[in-house]
Amino acid sequence: MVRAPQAGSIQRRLALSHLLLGALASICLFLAIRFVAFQTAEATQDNLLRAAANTIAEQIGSSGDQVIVKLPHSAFAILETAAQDRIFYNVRVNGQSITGYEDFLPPDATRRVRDPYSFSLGYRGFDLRAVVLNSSAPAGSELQEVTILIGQTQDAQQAVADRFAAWAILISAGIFLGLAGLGAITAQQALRPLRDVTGAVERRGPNDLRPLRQPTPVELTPLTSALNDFIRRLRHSLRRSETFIAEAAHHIRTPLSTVKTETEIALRRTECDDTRRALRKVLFSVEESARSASQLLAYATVTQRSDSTPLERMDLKTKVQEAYDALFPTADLKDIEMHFTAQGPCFDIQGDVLMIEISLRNLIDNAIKYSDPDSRIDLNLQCDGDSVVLTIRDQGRGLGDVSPKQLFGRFKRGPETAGIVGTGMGLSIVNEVARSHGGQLYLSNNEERGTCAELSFPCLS
Amino acid sequence: MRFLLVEDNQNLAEAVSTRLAMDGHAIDMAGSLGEAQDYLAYSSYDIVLLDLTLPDGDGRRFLGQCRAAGNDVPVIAVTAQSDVSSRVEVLDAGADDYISKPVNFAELEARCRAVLRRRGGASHNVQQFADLEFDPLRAEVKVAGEPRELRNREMRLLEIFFSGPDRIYSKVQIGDRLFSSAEEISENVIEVYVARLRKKLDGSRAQIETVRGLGYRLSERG
Repeated sequence: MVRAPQAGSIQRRLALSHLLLGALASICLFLAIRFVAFQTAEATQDNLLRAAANTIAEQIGSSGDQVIVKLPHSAFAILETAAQDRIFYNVRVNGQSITGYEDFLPPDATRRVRDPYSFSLGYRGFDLRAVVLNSSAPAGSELQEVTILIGQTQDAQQAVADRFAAWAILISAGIFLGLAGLGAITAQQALRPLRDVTGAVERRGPNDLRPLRQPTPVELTPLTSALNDFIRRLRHSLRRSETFIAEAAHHIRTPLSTVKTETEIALRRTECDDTRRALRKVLFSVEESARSASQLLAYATVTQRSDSTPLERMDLKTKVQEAYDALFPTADLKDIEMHFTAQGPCFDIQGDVLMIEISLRNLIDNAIKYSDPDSRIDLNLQCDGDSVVLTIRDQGRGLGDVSPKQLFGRFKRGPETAGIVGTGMGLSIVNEVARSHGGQLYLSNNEERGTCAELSFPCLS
Repeated sequence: MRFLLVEDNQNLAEAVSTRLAMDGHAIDMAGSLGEAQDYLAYSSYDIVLLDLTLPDGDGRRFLGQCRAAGNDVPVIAVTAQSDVSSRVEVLDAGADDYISKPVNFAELEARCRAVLRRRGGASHNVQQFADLEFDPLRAEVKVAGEPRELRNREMRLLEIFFSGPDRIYSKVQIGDRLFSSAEEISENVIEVYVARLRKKLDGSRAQIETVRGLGYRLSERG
């Protein structure tokens, strides 16, 4: 089969786009999960910080005009984490720091906020999450402003976020793999009708030129229609060339027949030696051209068919017998004894009937042509299980001093062919038939005299 | 032999019929399948030579119809299509044999004879001369009732003499009939075959007599 040039692969393209989609989706998912995890962890920490601030606020009392701040242990217990986060706090009354870090101050914008307010800030090189709670305590006759600020490092929160992120990676990877697998399956599925059509075309015998009848998806119908149109045109052109070959033969050979017959009549009617010699030359040339015509057509037929016809099972012995019967009268005219023997259980081969018949007739015809009158031709058919070999031995002129391979060329004739009508096509036809059937043609000189031709084909057993 | 030649090319038909007449055959010519039908209805033939591509149809179909109608006249298809598949088709259609154009007349005669022989054809045309009995169809020769085996060329040589007993045939005439016309034949070869035939006919009252300077003739020993 001839491989067509390739330009990318639909399957790969489909799979790749799924892969890309999978990657995008998994990255988005990963980011989303991480964001949500972070937000959740932060909200949790904020709640804890608020609870701690509230706990401190509840313990604020007063005695006379003194505001008393007690730092309850539980406020810090709430904030305790496995990550040993650091806690900073500052409780101020009317802007005066009572306990904690004096320089740990909330932003000014939060001064008027009544509800506990959460925010992030940096302090002493730490990134903190903090809560500020503005409240008031009665001291004497007036309310004193109390500001509670409590901050905590974010290690525990980070740990939670990281754990979630790890899960996010796993989930995203799973989604990615799932989509990639889905992509591969989709590509396979989507391309199945295409493969079905390909298979249907490939499975056809070479001579099966019926249009494709297989139902195909809408997207493929333009392709199958185009294919069917192509098949139709091919069928047309094959039929045309076969008709042409037959007609060409008819138109060449009919007038040649007239020339030949009239020349023979003239030859019979004249006694003049010069005229007779001339007429003989005419006859020789006419026979040569008639033979050329038929051999050229045989060659055209053989080369045309060698790529395009289905092979069928046939019994080579029957075919040889038929060719033998057909050519027996020709041999008998020269008093040539022709014998046919066969040894073996089975002579079945796979081949094109027409091509096999053409090759057999050519070989036997050659043997008769180059044999002297009163000689003998032996046809022997043997099968050794692997191949069926037809050996044709004549007692004719032999090949002369020429390498047999040279005789397989078109229009090549050996040195021993003078005076015998021939075109130099016969052996190249037989060789082409042998080649296209996986067989072989082998020529040699007999030990005594004459030629031995061996034509072998693979045996079907 | 009596031939019906079905051929639409007028020139070829005339040439072939002249050529066959030279060998002593009788020929009717039909230019179409219709005409051939008419001839077959009114006369009987030893052999029909049927061209396959005719103006009013395909020879193979005609042949099929003839056979279906019970007409079993021997038919040899003559066609310009040399491919073997048409040969098989023609034989399947009921032809007895097949020969391709341009026709080699010696081969045509051989095939006709083979066809007639296969069909168990008439022993009616046993010819006699002196104590020779000759059946060209079966390729049998008897000398005083005793069969002699002749090879193809000896047989055809004898046939030439039988076609005109007591007539003198020159070596050229014999060569023309015995060998393919394109072959240059030396006169020695004719002598060789005459010598062989004489040997085969040894003991007969008939002889192949050399007529000095002219040729040979079949005559009765005096």
